[in-house]
Amino acid sequence: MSIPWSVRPHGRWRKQLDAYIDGELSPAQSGRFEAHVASCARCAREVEAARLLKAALQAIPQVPAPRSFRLTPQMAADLRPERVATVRPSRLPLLVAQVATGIAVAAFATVFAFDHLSSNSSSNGSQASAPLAASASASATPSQATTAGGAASPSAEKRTFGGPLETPSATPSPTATPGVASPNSPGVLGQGVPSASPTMPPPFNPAPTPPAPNTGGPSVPAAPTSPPGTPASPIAPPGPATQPAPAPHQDFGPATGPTTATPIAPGVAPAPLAPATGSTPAGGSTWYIPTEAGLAALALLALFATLILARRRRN
Amino acid sequence: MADSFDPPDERLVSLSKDGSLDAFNSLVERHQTAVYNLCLRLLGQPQAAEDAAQEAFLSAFRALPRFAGGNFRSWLLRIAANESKDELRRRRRKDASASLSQIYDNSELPLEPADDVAGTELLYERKEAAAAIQTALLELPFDQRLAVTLCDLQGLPYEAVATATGASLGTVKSRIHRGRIRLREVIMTNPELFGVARRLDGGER
Repeated sequence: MSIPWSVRPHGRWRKQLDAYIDGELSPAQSGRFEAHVASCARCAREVEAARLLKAALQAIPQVPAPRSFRLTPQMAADLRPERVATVRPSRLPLLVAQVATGIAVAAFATVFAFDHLSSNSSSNGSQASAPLAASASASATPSQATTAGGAASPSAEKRTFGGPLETPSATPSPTATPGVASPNSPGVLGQGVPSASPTMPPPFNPAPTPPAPNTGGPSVPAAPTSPPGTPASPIAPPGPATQPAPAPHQDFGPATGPTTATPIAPGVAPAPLAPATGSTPAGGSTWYIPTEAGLAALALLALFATLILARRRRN
Repeated sequence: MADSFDPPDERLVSLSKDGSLDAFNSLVERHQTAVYNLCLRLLGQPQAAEDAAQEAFLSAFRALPRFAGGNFRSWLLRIAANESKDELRRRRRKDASASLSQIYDNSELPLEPADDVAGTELLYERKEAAAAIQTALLELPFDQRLAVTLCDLQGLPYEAVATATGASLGTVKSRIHRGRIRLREVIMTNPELFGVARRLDGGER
């Protein structure tokens, strides 16, 4: 008797074959399968072979257990403490780390937001009659550039230093415009600043000229720039360290610097900024930088702790 | 095995959960043949199977509070399959240089006669055939071997195989299907197994 052990799939019938010989097909499926096999020699041989194999497998005898696997009271006792030991470790450290992360990120975001709200509103302020705030960031910019902005763009730095001197001479907007465009577009700052950068250049153009009419004329260009004032809240979420922070300062600095010569009480500027600018304009923003850096570092640390704890917990 | 007047698994399980070691040991006695045989077919080595089976019962005892009901035997077989997998991994790591088949080769499978076998000649052939099939079985990937073993050697329906392996019904179907195809390939490439299978076929009739 020759047995065809060949395994050539024959469409769906071959797929159903195992289920058929295992009695796992529905009666209807089983009937259709048998009808096909009755008319197909190849499938009939397959069925025969599969039955043979199953019979051979079933013929493997059951072996009696070589010994009893009963648990002795000693074994059971040894297991019990293990059950206590396998209780999952406390959730507390992870919870603390999570809360710390949240607090640190929130604190960083708040400081970051205030910092940028001030610089943003100041740039608006140049047109929208809130230049006092701008003077703060303008005078602060050089110090920031020296402290943190070194790596970012030396050219921007130069511009910053040159800005306060040169900007009065009618060509601040050309210098300011490239400055805004280049550092901002690569920046990771999200919607806030990039959206501001395209709107900035045009307002700056009228800005140098209107200082004389002051609030009157610029109110029209101020309208498009008022959105950039609000992005302060979009700026808040991103946590990208402190590097992006100096960049906007450098950009806005030279442009806003000259225009803000006439101090007017900040209309839209945030309250906390007023005292800072009033007392020590430079001190206000330099104070932000280490705070931001520290908070960002704290947030990152807490985040790492959370990740490590979470992973350890999962294992 | 269980007599008709023995308490059902469910009763013994609830007694065990209440802390009765005797009740749990009744379950052990009732299922240890199935557990040991599954381990033996999965591992191919009596000593390894013995270790895995004992570990399985210890694990089951420890995990009993988490047993949510259902078929106790399927749950137990699932634990045994997992213990076998662990045992296989341990042995493979311990003996990394030796191939899997080498590990199995120096094992002698205890093959007891089935009840209905009459002549010694036939008995010998059966043993030989069973050993040959067992060897072929060990060539399968673990999951396919597990599915085929539960289905054909333990006689579980697909649904129970699915429960015992934690796989879906479709996966079980596919594993059995592919496992058997692979088995046939192995048998085809080994003429001596082919001959054994033929003789086995004659013996069955």
